[in-house]
Amino acid sequence: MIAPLGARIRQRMAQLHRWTGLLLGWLLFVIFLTGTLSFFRQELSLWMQPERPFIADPVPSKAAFEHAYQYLRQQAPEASHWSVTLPDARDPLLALSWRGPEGRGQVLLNPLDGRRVEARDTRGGDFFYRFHFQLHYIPVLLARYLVGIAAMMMLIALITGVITHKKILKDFFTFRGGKGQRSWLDAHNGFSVLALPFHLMITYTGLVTLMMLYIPWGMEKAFPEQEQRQHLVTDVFAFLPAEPRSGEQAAMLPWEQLLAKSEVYWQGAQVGRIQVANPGDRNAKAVLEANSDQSDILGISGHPPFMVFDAVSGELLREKVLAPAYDSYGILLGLHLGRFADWPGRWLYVLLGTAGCCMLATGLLLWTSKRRKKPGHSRAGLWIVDRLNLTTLAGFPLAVVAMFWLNRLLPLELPGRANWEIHGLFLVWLAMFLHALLRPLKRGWYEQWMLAGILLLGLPVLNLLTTDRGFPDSLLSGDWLFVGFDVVLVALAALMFRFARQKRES
Amino acid sequence: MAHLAVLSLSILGFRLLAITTSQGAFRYRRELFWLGWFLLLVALAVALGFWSLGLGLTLWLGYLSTGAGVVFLVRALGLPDAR
Repeated sequence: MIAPLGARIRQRMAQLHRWTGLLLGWLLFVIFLTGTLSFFRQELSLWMQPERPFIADPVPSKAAFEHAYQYLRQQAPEASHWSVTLPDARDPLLALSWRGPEGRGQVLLNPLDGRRVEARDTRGGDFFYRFHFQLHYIPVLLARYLVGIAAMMMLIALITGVITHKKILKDFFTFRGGKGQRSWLDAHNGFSVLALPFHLMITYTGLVTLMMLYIPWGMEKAFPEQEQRQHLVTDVFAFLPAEPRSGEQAAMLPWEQLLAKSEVYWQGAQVGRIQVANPGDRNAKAVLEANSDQSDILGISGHPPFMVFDAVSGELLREKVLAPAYDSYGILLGLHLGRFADWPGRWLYVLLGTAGCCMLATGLLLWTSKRRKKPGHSRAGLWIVDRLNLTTLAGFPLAVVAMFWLNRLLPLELPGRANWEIHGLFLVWLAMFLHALLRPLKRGWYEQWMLAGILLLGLPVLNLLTTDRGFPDSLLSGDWLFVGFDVVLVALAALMFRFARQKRES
Repeated sequence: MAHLAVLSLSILGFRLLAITTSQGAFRYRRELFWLGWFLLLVALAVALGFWSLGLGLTLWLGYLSTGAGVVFLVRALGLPDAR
């Protein structure tokens, strides 16, 4: 018989929960917030490039690819590699890139007429996606290890939190408002327990996503030679290894045939991306990859199927292999990325991600709330944690909004414009840190929440003044992305003002 | 439509569970408590009926959390001492 958990074990678990949660809590909050924003990565990129034309219905892949093919044949005939991302429900434009002896290039095309779209230089939603697992300004490998350690701490904090919480079911809906520390505890429990399956899933799958980096020994043991590992990569990923050109020109097969072939093979699933190696050469190869946003046909895997063809003869050279372990990995990856989700599903991810941010925020605030009442507690420690809480929980979201402002305000011709948007985010965050150090704590919270609210409320106005995609025009043309963005900004501004008011009245 | 149905059933199920596990005495507590659980099961059946097994389970779990969260937030915002 298993003995019940003693109070001593629970105490130890509570200690572990407190310290694993606190030490990397600020980093985890930033990772969680940017991860949550990444579920709208494409939508953020569209908003941050208002020059992209609004196209209500996605153009069929065959018609769109014809424009891409014509463009690449004229502009990059000597390239060794072409890549075409076809329009879909989330991104209606064609994204082309190429590389070769004459260098690299990338361009956006309107799939309706094949014309080039000149959009402002920005990292868009990709910045949040990359920052979420490799941070910024520090070496990528180091950052990924740091994020991995934080994720492991989070997993420990979640498990120890469950063990610590004695009345997990009894307290399921308990909230005691206006009671200081007790209210923070109830809010922390609420955000943690109610979305616990999501928190466990997103943390565990986050670690799995980079497991080859954190625990590479299994792979090294199974595939000790570099050549074997290379072979594995070409077997499981939609990847074309570099091969020399034959030097002999050859006409490539009509693309409709390859597109039709793959779509029949994938039971109607649409092609999302096409890569061509050595285009126009006897050695031309093409890899067609399905769009992962088709869960009704392809399931939730983060590794969509692909097929590699000889682009001249049309012969199928290889396709994604069926491997249970790799497919399980694909499902875990798919769960983490949420690319399978349609728009209500993506909102679901965002809501639960927000619950994760709230769980971390309430946990950090609970730590200080508890210690403020303890007479013997170190004042210096409390002072530092309070300032870091303010800088992270109010300052970082404010800096993100500031980045959206910079996206609209920075001159379009500014060299390194995309980087300056990001530098701007960090400069504003630094300013919020200095503000937190210099101002009295309560006043600091009030001012940062107020400023965040003002910036959020001003953003739809700024968008209206600086682009032709303002609220009235977007509403009339049925551009729900821009309409939705403005509505969400106003709602968030109201929330920030409420937080500010509560701080002033507390 | 399926999203809305699963979310509504989750909110309704958790609302009943929240009421029946609150303090205070009222009639049919036991019946309503089990009806709450039953509605959550119906939400699972609807999710599996509309989507595949993997997608249905994933979205059902997500909507369970959202449903519980909505009930929690409504109580937290509406009642100063919601127990």
